[in-house]
Amino acid sequence: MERKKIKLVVVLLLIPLFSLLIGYDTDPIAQSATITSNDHLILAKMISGEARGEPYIGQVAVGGVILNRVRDERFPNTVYGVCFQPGAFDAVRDGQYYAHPTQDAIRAARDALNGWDPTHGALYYWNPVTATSRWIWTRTITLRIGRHVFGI
Amino acid sequence: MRKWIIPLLVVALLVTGYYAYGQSRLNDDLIRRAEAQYQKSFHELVWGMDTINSQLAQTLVTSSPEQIMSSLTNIWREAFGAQANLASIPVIMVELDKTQKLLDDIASYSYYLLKENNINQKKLTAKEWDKIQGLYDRSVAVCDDLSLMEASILNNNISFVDMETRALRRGENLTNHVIVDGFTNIENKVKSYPEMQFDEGIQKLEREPRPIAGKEITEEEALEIARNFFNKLSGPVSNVEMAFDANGKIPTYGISGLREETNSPTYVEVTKKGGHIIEMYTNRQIGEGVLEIEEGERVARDFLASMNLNNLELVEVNSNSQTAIFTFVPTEDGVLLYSDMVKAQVALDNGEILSFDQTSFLSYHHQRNIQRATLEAQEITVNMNPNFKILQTRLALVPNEFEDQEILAYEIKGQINNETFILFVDANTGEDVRVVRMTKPREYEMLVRG
Repeated sequence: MERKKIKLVVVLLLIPLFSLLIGYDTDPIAQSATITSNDHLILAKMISGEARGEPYIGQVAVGGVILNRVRDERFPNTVYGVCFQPGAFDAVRDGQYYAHPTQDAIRAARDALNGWDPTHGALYYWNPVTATSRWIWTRTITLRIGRHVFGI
Repeated sequence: MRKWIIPLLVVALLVTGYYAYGQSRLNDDLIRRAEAQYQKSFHELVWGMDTINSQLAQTLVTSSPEQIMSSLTNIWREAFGAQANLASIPVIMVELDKTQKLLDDIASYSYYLLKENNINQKKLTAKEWDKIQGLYDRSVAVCDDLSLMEASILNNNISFVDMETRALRRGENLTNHVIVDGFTNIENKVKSYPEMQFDEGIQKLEREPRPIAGKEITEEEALEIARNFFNKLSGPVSNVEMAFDANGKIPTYGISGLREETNSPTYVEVTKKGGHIIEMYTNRQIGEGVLEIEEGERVARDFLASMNLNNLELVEVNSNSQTAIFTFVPTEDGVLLYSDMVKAQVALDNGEILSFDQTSFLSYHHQRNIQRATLEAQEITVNMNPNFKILQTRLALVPNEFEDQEILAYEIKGQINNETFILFVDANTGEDVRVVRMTKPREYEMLVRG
């Protein structure tokens, strides 16, 4: 009985230590894919971090919004500038951006870079469940794909 | 055994405590670093706005061309810096559309005046003085508020990181906050001025898609159009259903389906007006390509012909080892209509059409009645760098970047230093309209999630 308790205490104490050593890099890497430019990679990482698990067309739409911002005079003029505007995207804030992108995201980014845009000009998207900014709701909603709403 | 526990716990506590101390110091250090970045961007924004403001004032009082040119150069440079600095501070929760627009107006108008002054040797006109006055008035309002904010931030050690954490991470609604209120006031002040109107030719134009004509269709009709399209395309498509209803600049119904052969999701968008298939998407794992680009082009052309898109000229191929994206434009009297492009992506492993886009074609295609070019191609190419090896010359109608009109131009494709360029030269004035560098994408492999 006594021994068991000690073991339990030791195990409980070791858990935080182990978790420190391991970190939480549980990113499963399966294969490689072809990237054709650094903008393509940035966009793919962003789509992957923001819209992984969304319908494919919703992932292209996220890429479309980023590229629409690059062209809009009210936003920075580069893909990198738009993606890393402070507070603009959750994936940059929570670090999802830095994970390896998914195959789907790489293809969606390629479609978006080549001009496909199911939103036809949207500048914003948000998740109605988790959106923290109340201001975002003043935007005109133009469509809804999966968990995201898109607006101008 | 009991005697072991106490020392063990003490050691554990010490280790944990030491670790926590280290983490906390690291955390403070990182916060200070982030804060320093934000403060730097903010103070540079204030400084930049001050510079813009005083240079605009100087432009208003001087008439010497050198002085005006120097002021305009400074304004143009600082306006770009101010845009970048404003985008680097975490105020995404404040709507700043008009303020950002103002900075863009300042940048593009000063650039325009520089060009006019310098290249066309023009003096400022009364109308131009007036515009500068308008920009100056607005910049005064912005500067006043910014320096008040700056003083308050300095005096009270207001932290951008703290504001960011509270507003963006915890979703707090910050009222009576120096930064949030400050920027909100600036935006409201800029908004209270009438929006500045500039003539065409001054600012870069983001062309709005023209409304697509046609009869309004119902959801059922859209589904029927999608089914017919899928049936015609290749192999059976099941689970055809409405995926979204878009009311943006081009209202469409989004319809999803499943391509049974490859078990891959596919989507089409049908325009609410006229019931056109405007875009298509397919997502699947694509194998190494076995098809030649030429075969891919034939597949794309056949597909487009089945969509009644004929007489197309190929203007660009963007391919990697798996797919090729072909961009075609229609012609009128042999002139390429660049505004009306269509795109098709072909999978090079099995020759399947993956995606298709005719947004531009549906928006812009119409009869142009193109006038004859006043210059011969020969008259233009004769003055070009002899090392530029010309491969092809065609006539094209290209959109003007600054005005809502099109320019008749020679599309001159050629090579220099083993690189391919396409030059668009105005067929009436002989001026270069645009130079496009056709870089072949450098492919590299990237590890991905499974």
